[in-house]
Amino acid sequence: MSFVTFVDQLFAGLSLAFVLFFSAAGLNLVWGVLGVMNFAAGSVYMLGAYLTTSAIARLGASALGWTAALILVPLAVAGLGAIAEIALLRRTYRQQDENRQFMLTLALSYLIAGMVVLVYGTHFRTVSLPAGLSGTWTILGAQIEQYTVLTIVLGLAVTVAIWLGLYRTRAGLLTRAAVDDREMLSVLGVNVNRLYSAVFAFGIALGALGGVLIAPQSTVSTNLETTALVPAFIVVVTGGLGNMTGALLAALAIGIAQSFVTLQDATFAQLTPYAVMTIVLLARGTGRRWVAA
Amino acid sequence: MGRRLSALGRLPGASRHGPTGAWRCGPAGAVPGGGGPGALADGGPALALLVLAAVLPAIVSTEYVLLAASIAVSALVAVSFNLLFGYAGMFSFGQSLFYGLGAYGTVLLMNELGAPFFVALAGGVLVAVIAALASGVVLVRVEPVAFIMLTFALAALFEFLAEHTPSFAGGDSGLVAQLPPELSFVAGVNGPYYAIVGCSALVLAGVFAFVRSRGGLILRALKEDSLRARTLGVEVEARKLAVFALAAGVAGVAGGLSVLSEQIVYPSAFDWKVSANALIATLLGGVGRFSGPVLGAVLLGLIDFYVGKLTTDTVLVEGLVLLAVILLAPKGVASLWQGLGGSRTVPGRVS
Repeated sequence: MSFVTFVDQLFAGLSLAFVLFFSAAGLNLVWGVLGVMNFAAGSVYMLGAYLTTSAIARLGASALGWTAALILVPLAVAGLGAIAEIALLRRTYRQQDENRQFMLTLALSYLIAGMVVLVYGTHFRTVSLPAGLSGTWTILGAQIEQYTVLTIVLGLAVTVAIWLGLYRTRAGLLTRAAVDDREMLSVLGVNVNRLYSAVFAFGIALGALGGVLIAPQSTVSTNLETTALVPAFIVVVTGGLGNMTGALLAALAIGIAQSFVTLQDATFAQLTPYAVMTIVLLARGTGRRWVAA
Repeated sequence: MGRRLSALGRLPGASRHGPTGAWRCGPAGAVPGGGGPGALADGGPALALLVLAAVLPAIVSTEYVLLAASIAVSALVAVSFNLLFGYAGMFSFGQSLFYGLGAYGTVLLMNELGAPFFVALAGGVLVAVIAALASGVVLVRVEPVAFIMLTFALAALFEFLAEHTPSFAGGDSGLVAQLPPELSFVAGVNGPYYAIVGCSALVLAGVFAFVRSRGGLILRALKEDSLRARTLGVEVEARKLAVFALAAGVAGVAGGLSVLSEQIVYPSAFDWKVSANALIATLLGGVGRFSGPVLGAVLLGLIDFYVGKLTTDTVLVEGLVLLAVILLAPKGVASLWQGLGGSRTVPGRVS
């Protein structure tokens, strides 16, 4: 493999990794704080992609239109997430029944998928790249698509923002406290309900952001639901449930590995997440955190 | 962040499952662990439906016989799911894996080796059971939510493999089963239909005997409190692995029988919608009751059938049905008739 090919695949892998990480981070946050494994993460990703096609159709594929889509779509989905959390999930926390909560998010994913079919129909859609970002840049001798670079830069920015938000802000402090002891936090006068709504909305918005970023790179169809959810689950399990650093590392490993395997066989490269997960789980042994007591 | 995320303030020893099996809300005074509802109440509805299924071709048109055949198949998948979730407390979201393996195993054994249907069916079931034993060694040890995610991912893996191995599994265009005339639709639907109903009856009888045996009681003990069961000398992992394989066998039979009701197998046999349908049917009919998933599959099948005539957007309706059941009748629609008070019971330590 030449150096140029190496750089090429590395960038493609990094952009894939960040899109993966967005969904996985959303899942992890919601799991860690609310104790809910959010099955609707896949349909939220799909919804993000569909809403992007609408937004770009209205605003145009200009830099301005894309900036607006990148902000508005996750915000709109976050709003929906907050409503769903308040209307459906809130009543379930006291029972601590993670199965019932999982089923509620499953119902949510059906409703989202059903609404998408109702509004957009079953035909797939496409959306064009932002004007001015459809070309390539030469980096270390390799021709890298500008959109790929943009995805990576945005991915890095959001990742840094998540970490700063969790460890350097009061909201992050409360979020981490809620993970450890919800009751104590509530006794100390924190509005835990509002915190939960905010975390759920934020987690869902992260998934939708992944959907926005992927929209111009693939056809937008209802298949996106499963194609997003399976790797996101794998990243979460590989990194360790609720472990954000683990999820980031797993997403990077899977994204980059998959990008290099694509050189050999583009179809079966899609099995890379399974391979990486198997290796990691075997290497970590069966004696660690992810094993029930 | 993350070290204690999965602990999340749950008290050790407190039920992690909340409002658990319906057997608890049986008639007041039912002995906990004593088996819940009586044999007739538990198995009666399923038996009645089987009798109805046996006389159905004499009453209704071919369209409805075909519907009944596909409902029987999905009822078996739901029974398989209920065996894990309702009895052992194992939330598998990948029963489509074993359904698909049963279906593909059956067709491949018939088409490639020329095996007779029932031999091929047994072979397909064996494939499903072996897959369950192999994957179960790891799966029964992971924590509950990882179990959901991994069973889901494993089924998706096999869907991918079926789609992308056209020379072996037919790819997206699927595999047409080379059935003998008496089991194909060429000679009418009654042959395949009665084969499906007969096999379903055998499987249901076997599962019924199992869940009412000592083995079934031990599963319920596991579900209630696996630590206590372990202390009492139950080999938790071995029991879980065994029921995982048994449930895979039931789903495998369903897959093999789907070869008769569909006469063709597509990669979508592995789709998570198969698993989700089993879940919805079980919830509809009542979790942890023997007849629950059978009743629920009939209800869901009828809903899908009539909604499908009105709109192509069945997903939305299924979502609404699922939501309504979770919120309004968490113990299944059958419980609605037994007084609305029952469904409001707050979980926790009744005993």
